[in-house]
Amino acid sequence: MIQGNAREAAVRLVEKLKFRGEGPMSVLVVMEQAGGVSLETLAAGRQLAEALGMPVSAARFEGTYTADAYTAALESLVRRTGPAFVLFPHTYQTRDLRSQTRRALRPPDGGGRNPLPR
Amino acid sequence: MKIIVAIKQVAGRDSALKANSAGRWIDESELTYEINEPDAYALEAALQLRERRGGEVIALSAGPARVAQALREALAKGADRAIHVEEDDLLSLDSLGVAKLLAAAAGGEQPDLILTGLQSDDLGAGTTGVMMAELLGLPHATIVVQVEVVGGGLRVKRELEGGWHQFITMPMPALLAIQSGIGKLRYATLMGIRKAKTKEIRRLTAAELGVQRIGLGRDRARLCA
Repeated sequence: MIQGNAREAAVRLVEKLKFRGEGPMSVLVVMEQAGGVSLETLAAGRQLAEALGMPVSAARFEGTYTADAYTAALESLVRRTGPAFVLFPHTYQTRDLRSQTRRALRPPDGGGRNPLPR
Repeated sequence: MKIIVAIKQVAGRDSALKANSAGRWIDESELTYEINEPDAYALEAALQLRERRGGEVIALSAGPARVAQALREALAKGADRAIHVEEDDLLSLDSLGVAKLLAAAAGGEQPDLILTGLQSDDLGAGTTGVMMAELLGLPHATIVVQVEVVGGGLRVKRELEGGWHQFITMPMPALLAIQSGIGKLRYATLMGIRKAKTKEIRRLTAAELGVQRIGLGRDRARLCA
């Protein structure tokens, strides 16, 4: 469940983005395979999107996994669709994928600060 | 062979975990700390490689003053020297922020190999090592359960899901994220503890490393920025 402090933090983050005049926002869920933890991630994505009043979309890759190829494709998708949040299942494969994608999408000033208030 | 081991100091397993007064993090006043378990295995792998191939093992960690204790332990177990990136408020950074500090410190050493645990016992993101490799432009492998030096490169065994393993060869320099259990952890000997007191811990700040602290005001949190 997205609730309590996590929900509050997400709402605050979104308020900040809205304040800065960002366009329509959405939640993107990266699906790894057709079941299991990917479906749980989709469920979490739906809850998050619902709590924040955003649409949610899911993306699934076709073809053999290599971290560099998937990262390039995902980076391009994120840049094109501009989601506020990207959710990944916590699997062996996404250890490479989410880390590389996060680094590839770092903002021009470098990023690296924890956006969630403590 | 010059090996850097990136270590995180985390709350000990027997610590009492209570929420702090703000209800946003754990109360750190009564915590005991220890080396993150997968990082202890990364150190063990590094020490074993040095025993076979010679060279130097450098322990690297970012965090407040208490982190020196984890580095001393690594020195007592056999690391040759240590680098402490001083950062009082580690939680103000996300994994990328920490990776930038560690990458800047590691890059300055021009290592042949960087080892780190596959994830931390506290946050469990499992992402800092991969981002370090990306920032340094190094090849990397995650969930590594065996490392061999073959010629000028590495032969690495990775754990996959469902009981499968993958063997890959990769060039050096490289970064490997080590799985717990890669070897049998050694204890620090009395001699090791005594020797550790004379070994160097170099202290560096983010500013000295050329890594800027970035305020949220200027940080564009939206990914497509």
